[in-house]
Amino acid sequence: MKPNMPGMKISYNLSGLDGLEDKHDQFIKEMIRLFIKGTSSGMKGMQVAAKEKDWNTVAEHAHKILGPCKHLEVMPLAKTLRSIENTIFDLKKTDGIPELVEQAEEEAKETIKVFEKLISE
Amino acid sequence: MKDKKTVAVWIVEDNEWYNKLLKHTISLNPEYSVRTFFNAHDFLKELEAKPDIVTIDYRLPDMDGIELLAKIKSFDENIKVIVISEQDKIDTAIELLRLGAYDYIVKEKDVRNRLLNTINNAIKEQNLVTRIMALEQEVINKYDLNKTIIGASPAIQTSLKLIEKTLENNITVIVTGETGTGKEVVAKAIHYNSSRKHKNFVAVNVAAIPGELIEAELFGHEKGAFTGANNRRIGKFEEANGGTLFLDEIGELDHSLQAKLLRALQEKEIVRIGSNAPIKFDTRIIAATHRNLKEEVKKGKFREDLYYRLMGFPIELPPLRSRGKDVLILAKHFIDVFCKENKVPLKTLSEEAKAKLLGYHYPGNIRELRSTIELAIVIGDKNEIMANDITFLSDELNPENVSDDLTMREYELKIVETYLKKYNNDIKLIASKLDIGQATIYRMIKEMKEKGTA
Repeated sequence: MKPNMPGMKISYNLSGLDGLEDKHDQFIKEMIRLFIKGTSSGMKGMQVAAKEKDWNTVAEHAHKILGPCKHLEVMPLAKTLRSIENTIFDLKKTDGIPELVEQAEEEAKETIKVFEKLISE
Repeated sequence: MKDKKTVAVWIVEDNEWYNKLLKHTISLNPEYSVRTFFNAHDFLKELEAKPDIVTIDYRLPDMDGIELLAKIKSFDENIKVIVISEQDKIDTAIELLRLGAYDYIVKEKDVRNRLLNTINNAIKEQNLVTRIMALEQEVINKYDLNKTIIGASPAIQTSLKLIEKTLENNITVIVTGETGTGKEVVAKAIHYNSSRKHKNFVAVNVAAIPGELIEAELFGHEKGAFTGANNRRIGKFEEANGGTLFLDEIGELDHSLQAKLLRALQEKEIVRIGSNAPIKFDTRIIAATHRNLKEEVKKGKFREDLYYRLMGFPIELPPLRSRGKDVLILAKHFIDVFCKENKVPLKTLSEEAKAKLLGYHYPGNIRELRSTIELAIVIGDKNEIMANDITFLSDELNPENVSDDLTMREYELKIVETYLKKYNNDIKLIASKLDIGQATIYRMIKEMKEKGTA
């Protein structure tokens, strides 16, 4: 699916942040803010590395963003990041990586928009 | 991990989001103090402060998990390291656990619960280890030579000097002496004052185990080796690996098994029943017997080659009757121990009581003295133990038993024979009444049969 195509649906699940502690909402908001910050900077780093064809660094950035994405079940970004990481680290290939990076970039933008809206409510 | 309130949990995680998540999760328990690091370098600089538990990300920017784990373990093996990783690769997890990681947790949705459970288990385990170490130290302290070998007589001081000579090496020791002279106490004292003290001390009373079971007991057996062998079981040699095996009443060992024991001692390996695979062991052997083994060799009852193998370093324990005023030193020791253990006011011995104790011959040696003293403490109403509080076992004997001109050993056999009749051969009860081991009674019955007196 092209990320900027109408119909791209961002899904997530915050139950991984559930807890019994006080100020729980505040904690969730803080974690989402950190997610936005980490994803933004990670994506920037990934784009720079992709331009320089530094695929290892691309995979490192994907790996770093992937952890929180998996924990919050952020789709489809988690799936795309997993593909980037697997293709470079496990399959030792770079075919299609620039396209995947572009796709991840769009998905990250959409995800960040959704999360920004969520914490502003 | 001194107590729950001071459990220091450190987090090494470069991902800011995860770092925050883990810190928040662990900090929910007020008994944990949490510190966080974003790279291995900063963490290692602080390691001197010795955290109790460390969670490390497998893939840090400046070091991978295996290298960091190795550095932590080489600094302090007791620090529990939990590796948290994106990777769910089994071989990586196995390798990390092999290298000493306490657990391997994959960054998945339930990471928080898993981490809290793992930390909780690590603390419980560490508390158990601490407790075991404290108990072990207590046992080691209990068998401190000065607290164990008590007495000032030349006879016991000679034995003490011999015991000291066995502490710095692994020489096979054979302890001989009459019943109740403290052969097992000496064996324990040697073990707990030697470099093997943190390993097992395993005692086997050869006379107490039926002949058909002794081989399995010593060497172990495989599943199905014989009827009733439903599981593999390791033997005492393996159980004592790295430590000390005390073979009490070695003189009672069946002749056919003596050859197998000799082979084990010579080759330093045993073969479990039902197996062909030899198993190496590193076990110090201390044997004990009340018999004169040399005489047993002459009679053909004990193998000469095993005799010489066991006679590495002989220690003869003197009978109490030859130890003069040690009787009073030991009596005072037993009074102290009994009063402390039973939380009763400390008692002393009257001059008449001392004289009575010194005038007795103690066929049951130290064991008999101990029982006599304990009984006197319980019987006496005053803070001072009087002469009439002291009752010797031989005082209770049927006059018919003591009127003959018998040897000390024959009197002992008579006593046991009397008790066998009196208590209808209830060995357990008699052992309790006489305060001697059941094995000793069985051995004496065997001796009576051999002499045709039973």
